Amino acid sequence: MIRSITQLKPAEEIERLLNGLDRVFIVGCGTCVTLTRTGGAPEVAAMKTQLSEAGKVVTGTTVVPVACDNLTGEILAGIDSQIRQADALLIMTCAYGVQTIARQIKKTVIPALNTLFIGKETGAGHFDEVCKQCGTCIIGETGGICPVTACHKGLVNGPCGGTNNGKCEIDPDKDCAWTAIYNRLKDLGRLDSMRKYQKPRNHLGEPSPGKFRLPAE
Amino acid sequence: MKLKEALERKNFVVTSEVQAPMGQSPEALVENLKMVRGRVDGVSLSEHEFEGVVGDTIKTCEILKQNRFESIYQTTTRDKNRLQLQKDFLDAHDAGIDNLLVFTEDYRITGDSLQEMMFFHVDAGKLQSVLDHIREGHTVQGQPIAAKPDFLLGSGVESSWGKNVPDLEMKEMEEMTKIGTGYFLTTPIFDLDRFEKFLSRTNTFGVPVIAEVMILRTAGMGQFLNRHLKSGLVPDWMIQKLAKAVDKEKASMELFADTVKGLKHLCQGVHIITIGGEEKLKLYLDAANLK
Repeated sequence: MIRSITQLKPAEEIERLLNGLDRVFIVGCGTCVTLTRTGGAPEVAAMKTQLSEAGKVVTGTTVVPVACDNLTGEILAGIDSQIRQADALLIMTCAYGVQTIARQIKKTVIPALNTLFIGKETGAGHFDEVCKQCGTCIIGETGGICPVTACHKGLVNGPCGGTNNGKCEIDPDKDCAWTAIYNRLKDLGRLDSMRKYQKPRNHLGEPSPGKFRLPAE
Repeated sequence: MKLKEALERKNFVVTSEVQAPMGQSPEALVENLKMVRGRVDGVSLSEHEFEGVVGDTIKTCEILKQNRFESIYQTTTRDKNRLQLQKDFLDAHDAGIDNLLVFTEDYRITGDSLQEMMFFHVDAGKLQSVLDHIREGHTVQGQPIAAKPDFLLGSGVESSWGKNVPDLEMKEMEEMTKIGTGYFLTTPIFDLDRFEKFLSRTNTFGVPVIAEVMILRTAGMGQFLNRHLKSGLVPDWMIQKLAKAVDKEKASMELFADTVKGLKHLCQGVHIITIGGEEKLKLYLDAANLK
């Protein structure tokens, strides 16, 4: 399961964003942010306390099941009276959730979280970024490990001189992607792939902002 | 004598690294370097340094060349794409520069705003594609160009492994050799035993190895390198010697001279990093009896 990995914004930033907006409705989400403990029911309750202590009026709170789902608009419509009383919605979901809600409700939306990356839970409480959605996948030749994402430098012809006993020069807690690729290819008996020169990537695969339309049948 | 020629003749070469001065004319730099003219086989001008931004490197290379120095344009593939690299190499060629020293470069830990995004779009493989294209007389897009620059290319190699050189590192050196590298420049050497072990384990494919020697002036510099560059890089006894010395300059020169003396038996040259002390370079060369 992929997860949107988020981090709570500093209290000062939330305070600045809510400046002049005294009546606030808080929205959490039951999916990714619950798992990362940044926007589930306990965090929404804590935020409510924090804002009340700061002198704000919290007109209500809710934790929607999946904020990025289009049904979220209908769920929020059900508690419209509480939302109408608020000057702004403080949204404790990832940016996908914030934007889904912003599109459906005519209210100022304030994100309480920063969205870091789309990650995979690789162990209890551990989340790793495994794909950057670059549009030119090469993991068929790198043992199923993506160097564009897992290597800090995104090198497709690795490793660099900063590989340090299986760790990355930027952080001894981060694994060197190319050591992992080497070991994987060695296990698979495909070390010859290491020597394959990866040509410069075509960065025009899908220019940002990405857009995709299903072809007409 | 050109650096390429000196390497081919198996001379023990001496090169040094300086920075193009920022916001002032390079006269002072040229004057300082004149003291060692004829004693260094090359002067490399780096585009990136610990401190961050430097002056016009290619222009300064050209001025040094006019002053009868063998200048080396030292750059990195970090923060550049292939078009920028191609432009820089062609500019360097137009300025009469024959030597390149190119690193894929590290993650920056000090210097100019660390908030800026560092990008590593070009790796050794893509560097090769740029060099190949311009050597054959066309741009990366295939447009013909008048010049066909064929540089002497220097490449970096991580040398602090001792005898436990990983397979990966060996492969990297092999790749560099395929690119057509003219010499390998090591990471700073302080521990000669470890370096000897490294050399005995690596196959340098007949490519000359030049050892980087950093002039340690104070114990603090050693500690900084250990903390930020690589832990254990500068041996404790060196730091102690500098810390206890009454005459720090003398101690610094002794350490330098001993290192160079040892390296003469191990590799084909030294690349001296003065870290802003190029006016003292002559004294260090004297101390180490280099020409």
